[in-house]
Amino acid sequence: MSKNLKKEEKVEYTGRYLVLLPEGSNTSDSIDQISSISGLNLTSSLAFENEFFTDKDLAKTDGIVLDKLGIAIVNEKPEIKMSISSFGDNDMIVEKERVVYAIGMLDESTQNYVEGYRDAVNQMTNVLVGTEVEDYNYEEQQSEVESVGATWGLKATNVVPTSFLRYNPYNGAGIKVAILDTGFDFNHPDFAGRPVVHQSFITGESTQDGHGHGTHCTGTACGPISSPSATERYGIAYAASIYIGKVLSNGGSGGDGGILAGINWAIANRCDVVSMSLRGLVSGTGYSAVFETAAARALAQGTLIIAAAGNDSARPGVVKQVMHPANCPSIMAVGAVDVNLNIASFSNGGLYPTYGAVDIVAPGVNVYSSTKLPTKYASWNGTSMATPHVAGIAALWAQATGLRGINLWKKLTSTAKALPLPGRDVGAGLVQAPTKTRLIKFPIDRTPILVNPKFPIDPIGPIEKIIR
Amino acid sequence: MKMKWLISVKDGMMERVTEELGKMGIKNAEKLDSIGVIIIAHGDYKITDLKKIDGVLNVEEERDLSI
Repeated sequence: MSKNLKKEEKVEYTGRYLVLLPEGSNTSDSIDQISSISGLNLTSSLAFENEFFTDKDLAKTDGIVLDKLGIAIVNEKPEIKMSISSFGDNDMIVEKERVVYAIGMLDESTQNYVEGYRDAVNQMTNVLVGTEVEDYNYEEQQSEVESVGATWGLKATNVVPTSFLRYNPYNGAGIKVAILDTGFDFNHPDFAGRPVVHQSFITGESTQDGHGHGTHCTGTACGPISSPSATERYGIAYAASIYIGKVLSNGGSGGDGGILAGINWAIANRCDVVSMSLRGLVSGTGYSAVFETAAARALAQGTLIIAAAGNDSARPGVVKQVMHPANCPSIMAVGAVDVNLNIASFSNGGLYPTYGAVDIVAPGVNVYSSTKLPTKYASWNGTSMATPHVAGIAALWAQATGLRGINLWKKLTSTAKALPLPGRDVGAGLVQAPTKTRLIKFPIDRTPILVNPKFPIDPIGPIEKIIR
Repeated sequence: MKMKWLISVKDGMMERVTEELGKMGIKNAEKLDSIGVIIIAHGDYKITDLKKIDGVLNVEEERDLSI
């Protein structure tokens, strides 16, 4: 083993901490919040000219908040160690600051030489062809290149970004997603060769989907990236591990006991996400204490349960409450929006925020996905269709960030796209998938230096082989 | 559908509660260890008697759900 490899294996820390502030929070409020939590007095980077500060500046304060990044660098003090859990309770993520090394570190003399060389080349380039002007129009590059052939739901949630500048490298690989529903059609060609772990909790019925609902939900959450027979891409976490728990009969109904058994089975199989497109009627306030206990224990073990808010409303006149079990505080309740990002007429609302708020919304109208054979594909409506959108995207976030349980919940809600609709109906907003910025390579549109018009005549002239 | 009782149990009390249910004549309790819930057939048991068992958090009657 080389010396360099040994160095990479050992993580070194500076002694400072990095605090990732909640999405959208402003620096001033964050400084106040951290002060009230820990007693630490932080300074904004805005207090420094051009927001440039040194280690000496940092040493003079408890820490500095990087205004543009939403991150605080906090010096090692007893207060921060004692406050880490409180930061977590306030949607902040705390990490120890690592010591990082440039790849192939240079000694000082080599670095000076390379920098001198770089400066000389830059200066010569400017003399010959002028200074570089960034006139590349990003806006004109807005493209549908990647999103052609994807459902509107996948585009609206950034699973398939519509901007040329963004792409989604995540597919749910390594993440286990459980769909507790009417089962799954194991003969569907889009899932041929895909391993599926399954268990039926319905007496006398196999996991084979005799309804189609479970296959539709599975398709949205974990369907393939491409299919020879589908008209468009409909699956989100196409590389996630699929766990099918049949808790609803082929007639589309079931009991609490089977659903709890399904949740228990999913946790025992270490599923990261559980999707439940089902509901039981409730009226008035209150939620199931048994389900709440089960869901809280699931969260504590790193399993996020996501459930449909219900389709009992007839908007605009009638808005029904979030139904069981989505009304449990530890279960993420999902409402539905249409292609115009309006709340779906049937989507239930958070009439009793403490006992059944809508936490997030997702596409739930005219949702194209797989269903049981021979129909094979169908476009359906319902919070049932919205729920697996959130489950699939939760799998992408779990893969992208490593977050689980309540932290994954917070990531989903903190990154949701705010909608100009009442929080009662849409909660944190429209669920959004993680994306990355595409590395743009500038087109080479300049004349090469050696044939630049400024030097029309080669001062040396061509070298010809003289034959005597 | 034949309904059941759903019993949530305090942490670490599953065995104790199962034993107590056994003393009441309930032998085929379904134990869901990962979530700390026990499911039993409805029978003639009263919810108040079940709630009295040491370690029981809550008792609810099973409900129907649908898509």
